[in-house]
Parts: sequence; structure tokens; C-alpha cells
Amino acid sequence: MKEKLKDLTYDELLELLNKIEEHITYLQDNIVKEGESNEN
Amino acid sequence: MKINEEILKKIDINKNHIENFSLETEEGTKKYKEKFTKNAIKEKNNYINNERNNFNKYKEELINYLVKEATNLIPEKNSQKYNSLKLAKDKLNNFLIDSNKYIPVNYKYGFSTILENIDENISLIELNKNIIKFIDLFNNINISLTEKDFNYTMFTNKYMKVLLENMKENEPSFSSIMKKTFDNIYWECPTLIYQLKLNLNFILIKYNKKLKLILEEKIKKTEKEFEINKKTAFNKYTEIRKEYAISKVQDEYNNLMIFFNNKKNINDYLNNSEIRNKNYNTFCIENYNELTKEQKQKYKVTIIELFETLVVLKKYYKYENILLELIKKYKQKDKLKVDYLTNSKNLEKELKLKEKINKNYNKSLGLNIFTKYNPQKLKLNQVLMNDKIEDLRKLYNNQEELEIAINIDKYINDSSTIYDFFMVSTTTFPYLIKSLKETTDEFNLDNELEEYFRFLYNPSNNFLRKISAFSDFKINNIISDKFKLLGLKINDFDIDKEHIDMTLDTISFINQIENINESKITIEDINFICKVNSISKINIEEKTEII
Repeated sequence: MKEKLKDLTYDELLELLNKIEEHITYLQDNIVKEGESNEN
Repeated sequence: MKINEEILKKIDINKNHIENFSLETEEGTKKYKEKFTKNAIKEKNNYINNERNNFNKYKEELINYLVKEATNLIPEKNSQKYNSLKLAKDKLNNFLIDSNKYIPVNYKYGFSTILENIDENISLIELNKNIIKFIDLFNNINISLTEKDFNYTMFTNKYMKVLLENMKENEPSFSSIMKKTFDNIYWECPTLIYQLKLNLNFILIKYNKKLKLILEEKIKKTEKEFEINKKTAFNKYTEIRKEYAISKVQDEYNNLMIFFNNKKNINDYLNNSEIRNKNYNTFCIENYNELTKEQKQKYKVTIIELFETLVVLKKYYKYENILLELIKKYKQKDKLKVDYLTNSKNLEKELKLKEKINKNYNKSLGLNIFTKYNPQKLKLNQVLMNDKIEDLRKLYNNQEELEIAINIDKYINDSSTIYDFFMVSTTTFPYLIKSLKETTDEFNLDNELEEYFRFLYNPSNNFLRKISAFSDFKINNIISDKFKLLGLKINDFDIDKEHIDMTLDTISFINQIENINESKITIEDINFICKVNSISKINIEEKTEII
């Protein structure tokens, strides 16, 4: 990954971090807790 | 495919998979349906947790990379870089003061500040420190002061005899010896501190010619070192002072720190910022962004000139009362001159009487075969001396007030400029200190003097050197008119006493950007470092200072 990061501009790197953080939150929010169905 | 595209694709796949994950079935028995849902939830959560771990790893790796990149961008701190320039600037500044005909020789050596420090409120420790500093300054120029130099009165002689005998650095018994001596004399002479001050002043008068000669040698030495003379020194000083100032304001590390330490917000300085556009357009007749490259360059140069002028103007406002007071004195100079001469004559007369008391006192000591010890006369002469000192105090105070009028008469005429008046203010040190004290609420002698001389030797104070002190024009009008001619949108109201700070803030903002543009770091790099620092703290100290 490190090598590939070199191809990105500083703005792209910061934007990517933003997207990754958003996605981690999305994943967190989609964990199904006991008693919940997929409607939730 | 670039890594950001790869990861965004993975995010899309993730989302698609998660959103289409079926947790329920229509088929089978109720028990089967429940088992299906339980397994599906487990499977979905396993998938999400697995992906969450993957994305946390991406995040960690990306942050490490960002910190590394940002750290690499941090310029090295290199304060040593300017040391030689600062030394040269300070040396030339001292030269300008040393070679200035207006400034008294006592100030040039540092004696005036010592005398100013000694007042009735001084502690005994500070008093002795200042006296020792005074003696050391003489030692530095190979003049060794002895007991004989401290015979202004019998009391100063008594005190100084003990001080000179015990004057050793870090001698633990010194303080207690001096305290005992002071206490012993104090009951006979409650004005001992003032008498010591008069004695030091008396020494300066005594050695005045010698001090001037030694100073001339120092001036010649500096002239050789910098290949200058009294006429060219100011240009050389201007050149080095500017070079030093530019090096400092264009230093990439200093510029980064302004934003890194949150003194200023980097977002305001970015290309598309509203504040940036507004500030650039404040003094620009047309829209700044539509100017040609050449027009932008001209605007930048004029803005820098305006900034330098306004820095001086702001100080001028601070010191304006000094000028007005001197003009008032100039108008009364004939009367003040007569008062000064009368006072001088009285002072001379009283000093002779003081000497007579001293002689009588010495006779009463009975130290040689022609005199006889007489305790009653000793006591009487001590009392007479204390009275005489009070007479002298009044005359000296008058002298300090009136001396400036003599110098005004000597150096000023009807065509004198504002600058000439400010220079005359430096001719009488007590008068200058008194005037400077009125310009500030928090007076610090050394700082105020440094600031005042920096103002007097500011290369951008040309307008003070050209405008007549008796002119009816308002100075902010003259300056705003000049910059209007140079193409700026500015009026006298923007730079009057009430608004100059706001105007200076706007110009400083523009200058900050222009200085960064001239340095080895860009606004974008500073922005990147600050953003990364807000994500993960960068240890800036890891960058070592180059020596």
C-alpha cells in the first residue's frame, strides 16, 4: 500500500482518509445486534 | 488503478454486499426461519468485522504515511542562521548611537541607565549592584575608580570606602557589611542614596573628556571593521537591518510555526478563502484576482512599503506628545534659556558652598598636624551638608527640566523637521525618560529606550526626516495621499490613530502570504502539515536544529 500511496497528491491522501473513516463508521453502524432484523 | 480508486471500489463492493445481505427467508418452518436468521446475522457481522479490521489497517497505514510525509516537509529550525546578521545590525546600531552628536556620552556607555535605576525606592542590594556595575563600566575602559572619586560628600566617601574594600563577587559577607554600613550612615544622612547618585554624576562630569576620547577610538575601530564613516553608516545599517528582517519574515520554519501553534488559522490563508480575497482587495482599486502578474508584483511592492511606513506612523502616534511638548518649549526657548542660565549660576554657587563644607569637615577630622579633631564641628558640617544637598536637589531638578531648552536652542530652528525634534529629545536623558514614561502604562527602561531608538533609526522613517515640525498638514493625510498616487485604495481615515491597527492587521495578512511565497515552504504544504497534525500529533522537536 505504501508504494501506491506515493502516487497520490496531499489532497487525495486526506480525502482518502476521510472516505476510509466514513466507511469505518458505516461498517460500525451496520453491525446487527441481537434481536434486530435486517430492517433495522 | 490508483490506490484511492481501488479503495473506493472496495467500499462500493462492501456497501453493495452489506445492503443485499438477506437475514430472513420465506421458506421453511418457523424454527428453520429463526435458525436461518441467526446464522445470517452471524455471517453478516463476521463479514463486517472482517472488513472493519481491513479498513482500520488501511487507516493506520495511511495515517503513518501522512505523518511521515508531513514530518519530511517540516523545515529545519535554524535560528543560528541570522546570528551574524543580528550581530552586525546591533553593532551598527550602537555605532549610530555612539556617533550621534545629539546623544549624551553617558548614555552611550550605559551610565545613564544606571543613574536612572537609582532612586529613593531602590533596595540596598540593587543599589550596590548598580554602583558595582558603574565601577565595572569604568574598569572596562581601563579607568580604575578609587576612594578619591567618591568624595562628593563625607557620607558618600564613608560608604564607598567600605564598598570598594569589600567589593568582591559572591562574597557572602558583602551584603551584611554593606547593610551595617548603610544603617550606620543612614541616621546621620537620610538622603544617602541621592548623594551617592550625585556622586556618580559628579564622576561622569569629571571624566567626561576622557570618556569622549575613548568613544572616538571605538567609533574609528567600527568604521574600519565595516568600511563605513559617520555619513555612510546609516545606509549600511539600513541594508543589514532590511536583510535581517527579510531573512526572519521569510524563514520557512518561523512561518510554519505561526500556523502550527494556532496563532493564525491556515484556512484563512488558502487560495480560495474569502478572508484572503477580501484582504487582498481592501487596498486594490480593481479586483486583485484579475490583475496581471506585473500589476500583482507592483501591488505587492507598494503594500510592503505601506506596511513599513505605517509601522513608523504607529510609533509616531505613540511619541507624538514628545514632539508637541518640545515644540511648545521651542516657542518659549528664550525665557527658558534665561531660566537655565540663572539656575546654572545658582548651581555653581551652591556646589562651591558644598565643597567648602566638605573641606571644613575634613579639617575637623584632625588628620594632620595643622588641624585638630573637633567632634562638634564634624557634627555641624554633617548637618550643613544635608541641608546643602536639599538645596542642590532643587537646582538639579530644575536643571534637568531646563537643559532641554538649551539643546533646543542649539539644534532647532524654524525649518527643523519632525525628526530633528525627536533627536533633540535624546540630548537630555532624564527629560527623555520622563517623556517616555508618559507614553506607556507599563514602563520598562531598557525596552522603552530600545524601542525609541529603533523608531529613530528605522529606515522607513523618511517622512519624519522630510516633514517640517511646524507644518499644518496632518501626517496621515500626507501618507495616504502618497500611497494613493502609488495606486492604492486608501484614505487618511484608514491610518488615523483609531484605525491604524486594523489597517496594519490587513496589511500584515497580505505580507504574511507574500513572505511565505518568497520562502521555501508553500501555503499548501503548511496546510497539509497542520491538517495531518490535527489527525495525529506530529513531534516537531524531532527535527534537530542545525548549528
